[in-house]
Amino acid sequence: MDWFDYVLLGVQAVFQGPVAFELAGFAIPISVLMVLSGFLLGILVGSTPGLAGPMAMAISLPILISVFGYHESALLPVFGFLIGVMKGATVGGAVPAILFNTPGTPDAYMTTLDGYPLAQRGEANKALRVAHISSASGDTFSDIVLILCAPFLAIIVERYLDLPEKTALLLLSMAFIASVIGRSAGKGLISVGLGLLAAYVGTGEDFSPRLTFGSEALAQGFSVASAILGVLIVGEVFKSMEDMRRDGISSVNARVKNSERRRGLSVGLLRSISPYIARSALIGTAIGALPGVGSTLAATLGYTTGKGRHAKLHPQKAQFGDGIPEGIAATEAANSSVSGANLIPVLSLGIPGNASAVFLILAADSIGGFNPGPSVFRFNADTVNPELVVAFGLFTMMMLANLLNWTIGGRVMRAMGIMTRVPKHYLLPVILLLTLTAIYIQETRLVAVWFTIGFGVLGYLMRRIDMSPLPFVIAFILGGRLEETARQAFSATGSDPWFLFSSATCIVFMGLTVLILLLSARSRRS
Amino acid sequence: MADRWLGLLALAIGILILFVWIPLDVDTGIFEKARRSVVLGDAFAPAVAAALVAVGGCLLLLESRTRLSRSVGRSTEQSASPSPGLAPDSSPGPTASLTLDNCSYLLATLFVIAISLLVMRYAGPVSVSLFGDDGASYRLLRDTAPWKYVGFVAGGVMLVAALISRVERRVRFRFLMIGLIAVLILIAVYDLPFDDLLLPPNGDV
Amino acid sequence: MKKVIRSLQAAACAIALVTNVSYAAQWQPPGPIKLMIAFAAGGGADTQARLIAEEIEASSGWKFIPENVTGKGGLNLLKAMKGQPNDGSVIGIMVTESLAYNRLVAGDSGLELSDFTPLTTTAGFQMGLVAKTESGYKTFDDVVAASSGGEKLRFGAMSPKLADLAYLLGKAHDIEFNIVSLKGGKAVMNALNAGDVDLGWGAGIQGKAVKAGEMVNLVSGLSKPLDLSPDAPLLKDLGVEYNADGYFLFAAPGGMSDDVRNALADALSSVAANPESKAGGLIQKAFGGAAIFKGAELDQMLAADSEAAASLLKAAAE
Repeated sequence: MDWFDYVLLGVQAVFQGPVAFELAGFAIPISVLMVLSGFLLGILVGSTPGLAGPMAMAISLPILISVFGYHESALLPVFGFLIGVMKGATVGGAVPAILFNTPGTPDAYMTTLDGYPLAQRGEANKALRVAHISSASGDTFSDIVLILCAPFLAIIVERYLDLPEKTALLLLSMAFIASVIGRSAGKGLISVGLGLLAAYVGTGEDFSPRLTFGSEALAQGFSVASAILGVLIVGEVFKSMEDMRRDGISSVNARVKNSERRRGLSVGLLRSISPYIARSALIGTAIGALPGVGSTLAATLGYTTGKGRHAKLHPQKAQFGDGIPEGIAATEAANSSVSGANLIPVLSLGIPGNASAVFLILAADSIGGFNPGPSVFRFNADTVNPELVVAFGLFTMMMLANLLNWTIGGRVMRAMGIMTRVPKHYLLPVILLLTLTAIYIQETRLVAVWFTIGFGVLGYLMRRIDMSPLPFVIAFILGGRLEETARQAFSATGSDPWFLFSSATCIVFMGLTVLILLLSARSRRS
Repeated sequence: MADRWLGLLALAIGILILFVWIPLDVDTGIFEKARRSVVLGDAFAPAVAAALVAVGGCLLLLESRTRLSRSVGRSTEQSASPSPGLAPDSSPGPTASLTLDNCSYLLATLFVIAISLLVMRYAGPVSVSLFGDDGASYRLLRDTAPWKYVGFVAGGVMLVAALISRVERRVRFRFLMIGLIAVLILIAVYDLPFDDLLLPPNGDV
Repeated sequence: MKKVIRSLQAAACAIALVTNVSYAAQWQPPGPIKLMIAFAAGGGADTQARLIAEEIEASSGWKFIPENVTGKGGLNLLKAMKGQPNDGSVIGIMVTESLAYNRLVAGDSGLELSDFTPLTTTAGFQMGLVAKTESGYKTFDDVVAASSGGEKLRFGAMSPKLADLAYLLGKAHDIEFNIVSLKGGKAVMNALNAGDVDLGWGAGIQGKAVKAGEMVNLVSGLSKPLDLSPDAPLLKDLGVEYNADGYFLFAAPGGMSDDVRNALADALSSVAANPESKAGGLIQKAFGGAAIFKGAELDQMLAADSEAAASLLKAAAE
């Protein structure tokens, strides 16, 4: 079997998989249906201030797993839904930013700068259309880069990296994540350390469980779901509820003037925004490929680069921030092009770079049968590698989601303005109950619910002291792998204490690790 | 200032874990001898993690020392760092810190959650012993309606309603209805279609 | 109503499946049966357990509630199961190694063989020492030759018992393998494919690759030849007096009455042994067919396994 057969198998797995229902004589495959429903839900939550893609992914994951079961055939429908949510939320985030000056997702903040002034001038429709087209372009571009790069990167890793190098690479990516997320490398490092510690409770090679205070409940360790949902979802719920309790419940009552005629964008406008889209898509993709650097940084960089460019080329015209379409284009193309590229480290190295990727890994982990990492891209000649089929199925669904985005995304998005009226303080306690129920159903022990609450407290405290919980989560996910790989590398090299420096590649990785930590500590100081 | 305390705390926690918790609560050492060769023991990885916490604390101390001298808040526009949460931050100040108010809010919220979970856990067994047949045990009835819903409905409604009323600082009947609707939806999603899924607390009573 | 339907179902099945009459008629579980699974969700072992449960539910109207209790080679499950009611409302699936070798290694775990009632095995492992065909090793002699030539070989093992066997195998031929512990059979296959290890134990997962000629079974880890590679020498032939014979095992808390024990064991084993059933089909496909031991025979086997494990532990510590 060569690579083309695998591509075909992947496409087939999506379109000729189990059928959901028939529509006018056409059989609708379940995976396609899941991408569509995920996409719609994604736009919905993206447009709701206070909700975001990862939260929707977290809530729907346990339901999806119950529906599709713990079997490899569940992988594609579940991934399809999650990918749909991821992409939908990216587009939807611009809606409240433009209409009500409240970004639905953090990376849409820059969109408010030009989007809201446009909306105030009665050009909301135009602003939304620009946001949609830029977002869809950036997203599609990024996916293409992912599909072209991930397999090759994985093959290189698999062929050239031995156990010591793999250990060093994990250390390097953790150092990188600790330094780039959040405002302080020190806090990032603490977050990573705590995440690792949590991952090491109860686990280990020895048959007597470690770090458990003798408790049997801890002997099984913390499940990935408890830790991730606790820190990311429950922590956020705690914090938002307190903010609302303190600040009162604000309701958005701004009415948007909508005097303009609803029609498409003119060719002239498209021509003037396309350079900004292209530039931002490149920036976003490059940033997205690095683990841990999120779409907010991409949006900021895309916006500021576009701003500088615009000021230089057209000093006499209206500038970024005055409410021009170019500003929206530069932001939305940049933050949307992160999502595809972010899966490059996930699929080729098994290292998640952002919250959405974390949930894809959690899904793979819960269902089983697909371990994101270099072994996915093994092009077996004689036997079929089912993981590779899943990977190409995943790519197919991403392109399918892009197609949906281009065709119906814009229309759905423009209809979502109403979502900003959802009373968030009713929603959050329900989300909490849902999360706890989902955890219980997956683990069937009440103590797992208490653990989740505990991680929620941690997540809340981290948010209050401005320490990003994302390094914690990523370290928790990678902790087991880091220890295993280090252990294996140590044993495989015949107990060489200097195994981390046993080859040129290792030394380069380790050197970079130290350099990144030193540089980031210094840059925060000066 | 807050960061300096945090740095000290992290340093202390890291050292405490490294020199007290790990030696007491991990059976194998940092290195172990097995089958005539040396392998990494179970204490190795936790020790690295604890060291990271401590080093992070030191780094934070260094950072806060230099930051204090130029305590200028960076506006959100200039700061390129992603917001830590999933939802947009309500402008986190540069001197984000934990206040006493935060702590008392957290404790009160935890109290509400704990009570609700206890109700969820024990409402079923209590109702079986009050209203069930003689000698009936909840454990054997945990997959039989209506008993299996008692705890989840009571605890779930209480959780949702109590948390909403904490945000609004008042008690209203509709909060209970919101809780009830949420609980019913969850039952419809998880319990009705799936025969082998158990709502809390029925899996491990 | 549900109950009525269930009892009707049970009655209908009892008539239809004559072989099942004995357990369905004589014993009914007191309530839902908690099925603890010592394997991660989604793998072949987990699927096997869930399918067996589904089939019994369909045929007898019993009700199972599956729950994954993973970690520590089945010891977490054993600890959680110990002391639970032995009325048939709690059972678990693990490997025989959990009750023998792993229980003994964790000396202070306080787990005794008598704390558990073994019910039945379902399938055995086709444990072989595997290498990639492109490595050039065709027999174990090639491995010995390469090692004597000064090459340091890496040996992947997915449990401490298998690591001990790897160590003893090397010791018998004056080879010091660098033994790398890996988590699960899939990880061994990945490590072999990536070139991270040179040799590794495969518990049957290597079957597809061996058939396709990508991998080769050099040694049978069992007390008998492997189905796929009957010519591979046994550990016994290579100077190691221990073996890696192992089975999937259903067990329940200790002190269970014989009626309940037999009813459960019969129900579980008849599904596992029936290749027409979904579970039986999976066992055929993934583990090379059912291998059923129950009752006194199973008790003897586990006692013997525990004894062998104790002496293996001693031998590997030397």
